[in-house]
Amino acid sequence: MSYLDDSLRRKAIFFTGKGGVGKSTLAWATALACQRRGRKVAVVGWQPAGKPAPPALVDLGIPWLGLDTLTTFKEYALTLIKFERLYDSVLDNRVLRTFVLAAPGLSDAVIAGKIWELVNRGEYETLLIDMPSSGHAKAFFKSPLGLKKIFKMGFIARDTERVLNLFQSNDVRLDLVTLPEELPLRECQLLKGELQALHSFSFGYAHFNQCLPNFAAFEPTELDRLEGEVERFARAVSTEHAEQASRMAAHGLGLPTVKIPRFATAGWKASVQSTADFLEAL
Amino acid sequence: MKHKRLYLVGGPGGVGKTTLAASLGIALAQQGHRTVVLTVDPAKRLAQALGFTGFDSELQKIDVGGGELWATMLDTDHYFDRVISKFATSPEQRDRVLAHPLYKTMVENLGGSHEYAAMERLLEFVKDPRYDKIVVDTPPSDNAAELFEAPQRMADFMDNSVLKWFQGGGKLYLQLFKAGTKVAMGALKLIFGAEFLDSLGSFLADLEGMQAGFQKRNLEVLETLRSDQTSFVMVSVPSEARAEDCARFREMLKEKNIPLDRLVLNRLEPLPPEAPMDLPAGAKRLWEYQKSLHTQQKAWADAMEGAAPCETRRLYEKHGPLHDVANLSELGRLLLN
Ligand SMILES: Nc1ncnc2c1ncn2[C@@H]1O[C@H](COP(=O)(O)OP(=O)(O)O)[C@@H](O)[C@H]1O
Ligand SMILES: Nc1ncnc2c1ncn2[C@@H]1O[C@H](COP(=O)(O)OP(=O)(O)O)[C@@H](O)[C@H]1O
Ligand SMILES: [Mg+2]
Ligand SMILES: [Mg+2]
Repeated sequence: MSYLDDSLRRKAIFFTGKGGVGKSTLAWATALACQRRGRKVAVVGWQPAGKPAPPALVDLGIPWLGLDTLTTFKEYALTLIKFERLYDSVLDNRVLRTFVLAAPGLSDAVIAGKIWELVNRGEYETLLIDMPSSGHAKAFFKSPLGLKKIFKMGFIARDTERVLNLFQSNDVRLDLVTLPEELPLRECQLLKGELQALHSFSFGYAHFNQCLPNFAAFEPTELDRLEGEVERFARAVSTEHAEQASRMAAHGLGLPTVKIPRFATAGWKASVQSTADFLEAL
Repeated sequence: MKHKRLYLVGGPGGVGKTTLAASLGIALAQQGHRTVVLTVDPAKRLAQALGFTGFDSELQKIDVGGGELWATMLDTDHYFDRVISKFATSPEQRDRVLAHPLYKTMVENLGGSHEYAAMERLLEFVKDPRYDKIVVDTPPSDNAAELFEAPQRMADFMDNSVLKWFQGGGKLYLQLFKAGTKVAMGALKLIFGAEFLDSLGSFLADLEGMQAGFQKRNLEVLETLRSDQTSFVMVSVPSEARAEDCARFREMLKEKNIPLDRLVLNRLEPLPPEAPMDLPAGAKRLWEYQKSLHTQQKAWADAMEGAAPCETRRLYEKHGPLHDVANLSELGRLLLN
C-alpha cells in the first residue's frame, strides 16, 4: 500500500522525532496530500491559548487545532462539572492553574484525552499530529501510565483507559522522523526503543527527511572529468550521498522508510507543497 | 563576547546548540581559560568523541591538547534529589519528600524539571571560583518559556498559598472564593477522586517550607542571566520556520529583560565554486540546486540578521564528521572572534 493510501485509512497519525528534523513539515504535507484526495483533515499542534494558526497553514487552507493545556483542562472539567459559572468562580484561578500545570503528568494526559475526544467525535477524518520534540513526546506518551497508577477509579481512570486504547489502536499510526545524519539517526533509534517499551503502538514509517537529492551521486568517470574546486566540491557531496545511503540501508528501525529529498527552499509554504507533491507521487 | 564568563547557548531544536556549546568550550579552553561545559542533551556520539564516559556526578576532564576543559552531563533525575536535599529544612523532611509516591512522578513529569535542574547546576558553577569560563548547552525545549520559567513554576508548585488552600485553611483564599473552598474541593474531588487529593495534599504538606529556597533561586537565576558577565548566544539556521522561532525567543528574552549577546546562523550552504562553462549535465544540475539552496537561505539569513538586536555570526555547513576536537575547535574560534 502506498504511503498516501495508508495515511488515508488512519484516523490519526503522530509524527515524532528530534527538534528540527521536519515533523511539522511532514505533518502538514501529509495533511495537504490527504486533503487533495478529499479527506477531511486537521493538523493538531501544541500551542499556547490565543495564538493564531500558523500563517502557512491558513494559506494552504488546512484546518489547525492548537491545543493548550489550561483551555483543554477547562473543557474537560466542564464536561464533568457542567456549570461554567461554577468553574469560573471556583476553579479558574491561580491555584488551579498551578495545579494543572504542575500536577504530575496531568498536562500531557489532558491533551491526550482531547485527542481521543477529537478522534472519537469524527469531525475530522484524519488528524495529523505534530508532536513536540523527543523528550516531551516521551513524557506525553508516558503520561497515561503515570495516571493509571494514581487513579484506579473515577473519571480520570476511565479516560486514561480510553487514551491507552487509542495509542494502541490500528486506526492510529506513529511515524518517526529523522535526518539521514549520524547523530539524529542514533537519537531516533533510541526514541523508537523507548516508545516501543511504553505501548504496543502501530508504528508506520521512518521518514528520512532532507536527504541529498539523487543527482548528488556521481559516477567515478563523471568525477574524473571535473577539476579544481569544482571537483573537490562534487566529490565531497558525492561522498556524503553515499554515506547517507549506507546509513539508511542499515538504519535498524525495522520500519518501511520514506526518503524525502531536501528541497531548495527555506520557506514554509514551498517546502510543505513540495513535500506533499513528493508524498503523493510515492 | 570574548570577555564574558558564562555562555548560554540557546535556540530552537536541532540547530546545533550542543555542537556549538562543545565547540565554544574547546576553543575557550585552548585559549588558556579553565573552562567547564555543562550539557543537558546526551548526544551520545558527540560525548564519546570527546572522551566522555559517565554522567554528571563527577566532572570529567577532556583532553583538548592544551588548556583545561571540564565537562559534565546533567543527570536530571538524580540531580533533583540533590536539589530537594539542599532545600529541605531537615533530614526528616528530605526523606519524607524523596519517599513520597508522588515525588518520582513529579520529577519525571513536572514540566520543566530538566530545565530547572540545568539552571540550578549553572548557578553552582557560577559560584565556583575555580572556573574562568562556563558554557551551558540548553535542553531541547520546544519554547524558550520553558527554560526561563522553570524555576518560577517550581516555586509556584510549592507555593504556600496553594498548600493552604488545599488544606482548606487559607484565610486569604477563603476571601477570594465566593463559593468557598468546600465547593471547590467538591468539584476537584469529583474529577480527581478523594484518594488523589489526599495524596497530593500530603505531598504538598511535606514540601512545606521549601518554597522560600526555590523562590530565592528563581531570582538568582534571573539575576545571573541578566548579568553583564553573561552572554546569551542564540543559535539558529536560516529559514522561515526558524525565523519565527527566533522571533518568539527574542520576545521572551525581552520580557525577562535578558540581553541577547549574539545570533549565530548555523549550517549555511555555501555558494558553489565558479563552474566552468562546459560542466557536464549531471554536475550542472547539482550546481543549480546548491546555488538555489544558498540563495534561499541567504535571503532568510539576511532577514534574521536585520531583525537581530545584536551582532550576528554566520557558520557554514561542514561536510564530514563533526565530532572531533580539531573540527569543533575551529567552529568555536569562528564563534568567538
Ligand atoms: N524536505 C525538506 N526540504 C527542505 N526544507 C525542509 C524539508 N523538511 C523540513 N524543511 C525545513 O527544515 C526546517 C525544520 O523543519 P520543521 O518541520 O520545522 O521541523 P520540526 O517540526 O521537526 O522542528 C524548517 O525550516 C523546514 O522548512
Ligand atoms: N556547522 C555545522 N555543519 C554541519 N553539521 C552541523 C553543524 N552544526 C551542527 N551540525 C549537525 O546538526 C545536527 C544537530 O546538532 P545538535 O548540536 O545536536 O543540535 P541541537 O543541540 O540544537 O539539537 C548534528 O547532526 C550536528 O552534527
Ligand atoms: Mg515543528
Ligand atoms: Mg542539543
